[in-house]
Amino acid sequence: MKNLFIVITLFVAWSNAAFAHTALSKSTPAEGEVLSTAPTSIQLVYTESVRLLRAELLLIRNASSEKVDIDFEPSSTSAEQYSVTLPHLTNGQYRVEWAVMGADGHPVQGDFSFEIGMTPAHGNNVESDSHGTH
Amino acid sequence: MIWSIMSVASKLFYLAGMAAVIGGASAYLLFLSANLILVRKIVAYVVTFAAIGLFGSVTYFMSQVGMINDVGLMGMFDWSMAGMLMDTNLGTGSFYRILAFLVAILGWLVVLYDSRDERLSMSNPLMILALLILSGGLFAWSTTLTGHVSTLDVGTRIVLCVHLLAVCAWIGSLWPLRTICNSSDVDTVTLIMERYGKIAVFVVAALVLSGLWMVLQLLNEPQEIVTTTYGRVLALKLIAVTGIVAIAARHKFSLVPGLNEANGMQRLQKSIDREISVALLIVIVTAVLTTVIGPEMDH
Repeated sequence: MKNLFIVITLFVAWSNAAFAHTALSKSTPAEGEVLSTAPTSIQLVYTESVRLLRAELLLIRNASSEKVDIDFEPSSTSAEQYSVTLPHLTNGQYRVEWAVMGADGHPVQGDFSFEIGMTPAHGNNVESDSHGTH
Repeated sequence: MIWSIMSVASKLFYLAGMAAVIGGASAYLLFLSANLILVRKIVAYVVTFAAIGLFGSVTYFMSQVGMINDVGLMGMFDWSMAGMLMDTNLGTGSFYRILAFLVAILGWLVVLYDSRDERLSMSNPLMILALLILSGGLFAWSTTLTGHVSTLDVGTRIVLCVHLLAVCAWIGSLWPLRTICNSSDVDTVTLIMERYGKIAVFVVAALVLSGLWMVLQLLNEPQEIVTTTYGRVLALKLIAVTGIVAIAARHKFSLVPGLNEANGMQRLQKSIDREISVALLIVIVTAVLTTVIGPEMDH
């Protein structure tokens, strides 16, 4: 049994770079975007219709993070686009964590970060290339 | 990574359970001419692995709940999220799979109860056939609801059902075949192995053809077999399948005709052991392929 789990662990580690069916194709704010004013919502666009089951916003402070209450409710229907309303955000660095389930029944999770009030010159809205994993 | 490992391990458990339920029933129907002790061993094998499969099915579903919550192991026990996932293809597939294992366990326990009387146990092939069709149908249906093939056309999903049932019938009947090699009745063993060999030709043809069809559906172009992680793991599976087919061919054309020779039974038993090892590798690779790795998009 021990050897079996070693084999499974090696396989999973080897396949860690693989990709999922479902991915986040675009987000607003985008990955790494620096905003001059706080956004009022987060827009998430996926490559296929999915159910958004988890969305969390974390305020990053040095090595620690603090969860921001965004009053998110998991979706009971599938859609390609989601909008999550935000409370008033203070300046700082934020990370959005999400988890969805596509038609293939595989959970996919990912995250992306943005900043508020740092360097306005970099505040262009560009397409996100956020991380997504099974 | 912990969720990926738990997902693959639990899927391995339920795939092994499915193989034992389908392969055990197939072997039971094939071995009706064998003795009662063997029949009881098959029943014990099926019930044990069906219980492992049931555990794997529940654990797999809970690991997906934990993966979505991502708050440590306790995230598996979020009943609110579990209720929400029950309303997805994952939940529906898990429900039918769990139901199939429960049906198999209860049905085979009835067979075990009947085996107290030799006359009764040998007269219930219809019940075994009904269990095979019911549990096999539920397994096949549940498998088409999730995974990369679930998003493809109906024809490919039917091919997946054929592939799954053929693989389970073959791999799941290996342990009963190995057990029968302990018998001292060489003539009966030879009869059963020859009968198995005749049926296996069709089973192997079905699984190889259905497997190749799915490979063609899941890969955009042949070079993905070496240029992508999915392709490389798939290549490993194809090599293992080639190996197991070669072992099976050796049984049919060399070891079974030589059963009457000195150590004939032991040689066949050792070769079946090797076949079981390769089968385990195939099931592990399948669990990885269908859980943590996806084919290229464009499908």
